Amino acid sequence: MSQRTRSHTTGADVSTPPDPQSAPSPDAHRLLAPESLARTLRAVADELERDPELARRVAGRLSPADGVAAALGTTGVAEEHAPAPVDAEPSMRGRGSTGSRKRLVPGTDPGLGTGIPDPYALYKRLGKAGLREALSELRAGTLRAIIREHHLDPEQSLAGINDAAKLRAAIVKATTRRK
Amino acid sequence: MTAICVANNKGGVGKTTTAVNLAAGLARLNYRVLVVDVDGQANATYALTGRVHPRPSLYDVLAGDRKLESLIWQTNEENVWIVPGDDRLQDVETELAAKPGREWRLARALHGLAYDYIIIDTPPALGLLTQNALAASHRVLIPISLTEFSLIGMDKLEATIEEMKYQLDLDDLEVCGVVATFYEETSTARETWGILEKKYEGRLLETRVPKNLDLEKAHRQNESVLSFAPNSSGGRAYAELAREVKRLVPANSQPYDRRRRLHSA
Repeated sequence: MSQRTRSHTTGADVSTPPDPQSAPSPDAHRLLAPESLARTLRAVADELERDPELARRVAGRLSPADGVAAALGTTGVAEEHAPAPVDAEPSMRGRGSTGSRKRLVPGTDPGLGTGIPDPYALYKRLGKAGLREALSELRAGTLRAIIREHHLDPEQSLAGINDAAKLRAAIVKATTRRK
Repeated sequence: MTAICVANNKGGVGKTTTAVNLAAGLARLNYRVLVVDVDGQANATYALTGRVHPRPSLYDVLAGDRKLESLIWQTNEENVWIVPGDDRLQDVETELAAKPGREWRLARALHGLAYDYIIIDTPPALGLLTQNALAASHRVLIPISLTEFSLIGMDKLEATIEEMKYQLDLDDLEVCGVVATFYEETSTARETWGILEKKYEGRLLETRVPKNLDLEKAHRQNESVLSFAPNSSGGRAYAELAREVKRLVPANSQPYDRRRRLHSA
């Protein structure tokens, strides 16, 4: 008969084997509550997204055939849209696996690079859909800065516009128009 | 280069709002401004770049793993750059506690940079991070909301500044001003203002930053209120504050230099 106890970390009821001295059975992985496992993996994924160096190191430790390494390095979801060869930046391209979870605050993706994001680099790396998705992370202040720094509105037609959706559309249009 | 530390050990008095908008205001007066986010909450970083706890950051500089020059980001404001912070800064206090020269790490890292102003945003505490900020600064700007609670703790901040001056030989570190934030025309605010006028004779700045929703909305849009709503009461106040600070603390075009202190540290 199995015993019922309460997990230290999740507070959830979990089953434990009757004899704690016995060797782990092949089914030991079933003892980890699904919610706990999911929470742990999400925390790991968040950390990998936040820290490109860590992601690279982890990817380096995994064999190329491993699914995680492949997702980080060569088969990112956005890659199918990419018009040109891309570098090994792990963030964003692996976002497909966590994309369903809405962040409380946008702007945590290290794939945006440092400083004011470069829409041309994002387009080259992620394609049009990826660029649009990357811009969806950003608010009006950053979008205006992109337009200013990359001279995407020479006629100044966007001056004074606070609508982030319009600013994003203008950036995508101007970036993808330029060869 | 003139370094101004925006400090108050009380939280919620408008330190980050003041640092961000003062930097933007000085930039609009054609100065090149570097913001240094020393607060582990990294709100100035978010307000000026839209990034949440980016890595690497100032933490890596203080830990000795990175050169500060490699972490200077362009911000959403023209003529404003930032050394971003992240949540690991909250661990610095314990990690550096036993390290030599721990109060001087920021000053050393800034050595040789050439901006007109450095604005340092600090955490609401008087620990090692704020001590690094004070040691790296020429002047201290104290934002204070005009409530009874805000007056409590001001003596502690002043005592810390005096202690820093004495212990670290910071002869030229001075409070350049106390600026009222969240100002509303209430009897409490007027009374508190009167108390501050007596206490900080000549150093209570004329600019009063009003309570204004646009200040918060600007943060949310990751830009200064001077970009978001320049004609709002908050926008006008911070433009005025920048002019007042410029008068009180003239820009210095010389590269940042703390060599005398570094040698004595």
